[in-house]
Amino acid sequence: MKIPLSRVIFTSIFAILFFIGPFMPRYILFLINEILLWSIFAMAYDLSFGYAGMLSFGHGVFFGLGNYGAAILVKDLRMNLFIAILFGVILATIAGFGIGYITRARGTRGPQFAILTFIITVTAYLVSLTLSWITGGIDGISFATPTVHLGMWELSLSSWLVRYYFSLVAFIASFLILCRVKNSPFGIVLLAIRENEERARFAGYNTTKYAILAFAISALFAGFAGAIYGLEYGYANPTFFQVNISLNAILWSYFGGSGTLFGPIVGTVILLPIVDYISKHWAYYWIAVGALLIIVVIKFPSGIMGHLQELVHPSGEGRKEIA
Amino acid sequence: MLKVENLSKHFGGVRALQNINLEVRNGELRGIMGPNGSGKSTFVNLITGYLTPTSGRIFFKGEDITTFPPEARVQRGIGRIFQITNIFPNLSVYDNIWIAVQSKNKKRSNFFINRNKLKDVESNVEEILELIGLSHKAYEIAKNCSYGEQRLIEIGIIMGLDPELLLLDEPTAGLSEKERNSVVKLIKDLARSKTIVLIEHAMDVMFSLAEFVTVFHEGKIIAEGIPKEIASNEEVQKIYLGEI
Repeated sequence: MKIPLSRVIFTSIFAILFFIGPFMPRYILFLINEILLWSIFAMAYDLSFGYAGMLSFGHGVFFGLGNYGAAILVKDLRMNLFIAILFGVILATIAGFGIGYITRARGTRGPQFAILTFIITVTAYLVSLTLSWITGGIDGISFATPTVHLGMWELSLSSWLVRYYFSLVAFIASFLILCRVKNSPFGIVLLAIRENEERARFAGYNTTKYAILAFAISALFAGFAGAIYGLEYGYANPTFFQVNISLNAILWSYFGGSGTLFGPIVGTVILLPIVDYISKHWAYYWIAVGALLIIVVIKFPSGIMGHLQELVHPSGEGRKEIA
Repeated sequence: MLKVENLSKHFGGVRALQNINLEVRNGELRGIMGPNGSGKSTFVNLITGYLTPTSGRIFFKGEDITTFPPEARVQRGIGRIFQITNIFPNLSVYDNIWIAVQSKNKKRSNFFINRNKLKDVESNVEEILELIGLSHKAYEIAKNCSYGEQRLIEIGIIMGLDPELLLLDEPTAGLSEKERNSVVKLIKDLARSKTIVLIEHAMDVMFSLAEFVTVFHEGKIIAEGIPKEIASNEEVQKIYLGEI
């Protein structure tokens, strides 16, 4: 049996990431850690955006709920770390399911859907500021990073190396699961919905059900990223509810190639360090991010992975394996 | 197979269809013709669930499907080909057919198996690609195919859905002579195993395919019969000539 090239590449990358950990300087560990966590978010985002064709500005809500859900359990209730993550993920999934349901079941599509998610995320941000007794208001809440109990080991997430491995495992798990979902019978129905929802219905699919489920799965992993992010850095903050979290994900997905398996990761790997660098040297770095987004959307509509596919297989042959 | 009783559809004050009674028998190739605006397409839209009727009822294999959503009708065996080509533009020809074939599979909404493991779907897709003559373009992106080829993809999608009742809404519209012939041939092949309702404006296509023809005019049925009878029907001639 032929092993797909992409599988060889990714296994090698995972292996390298596992081994280089202890030899990396702190800044690089930090940077890879950020890339890993935000890649989870970008992959999750693209299930909704690139696959099911639902442009959401509201994914910050899911990241934020995961973030706060986990943080509150660890800080106030001194709960186990894994239970805390589970709680954050459940909160985000319920929200995703709910928002998916109230929008899609009523036939909300396209621009109307985007606007609704925008309103929801703005509302969630403002509410989170008001509920300062839970959220800590504009400063958010901070707490001592918890400890991972693994058998005889106690690994504190205050160590950069522990954070790094924790994120790596979370990333690989999310990556494998989301690849499975995107390559599944369910996954291709999402592409059908993105391409032509009416035709998909006339091919016998209850598209509303598929779209809501896709949105909920997307929210689940967005919440997962938020939960881990909060626990590793020991804080939760209302800024995560804001729309720019979604804008980042759009930028990464689009640049890497939305609607492809690896596009969102490629986009995050390339753009996150660049934006991080600019933000260190220029206070108005959002201008750069905005300009970048405009250039990418106009110049690279199918993203790096999309262009790569066209370069390697001009007639589209082999898309079955890659996309 | 298909039975409609007193079917009416009004758009505001416009009566697109008025009290249509019609029965299509199992295995029949029924033609529906009529000038533009006679209610043919409205009729198809009502049968497939794209529109809901103002009054009247629709039965499919004895079941009242009047209020069913489109996907439920497809699952019960009603398929359609659209008047305007209606495919998945940015997916490969292969995936276009795949989506249709997969919809009959029990695992169609499974989100945790690799879809390439559905070997029966795979072989069915390859079979259909062979039949519509697009095997060599399997991995071409659908929107890059010619108009005629896109029409064939559409027919391939229908084959993949494998409906018992098939509604064809002007399947040869806008095609070249050569493409038209290959579509007519495919319809003849399909007619061997399926019940077909063919909506067609072109009289030559209609008379070469249909066994029994119903003529619509201004939302009503004005004539029914075998092609020969219809061709010599004075009222039908008047309508068609009057249009020219």
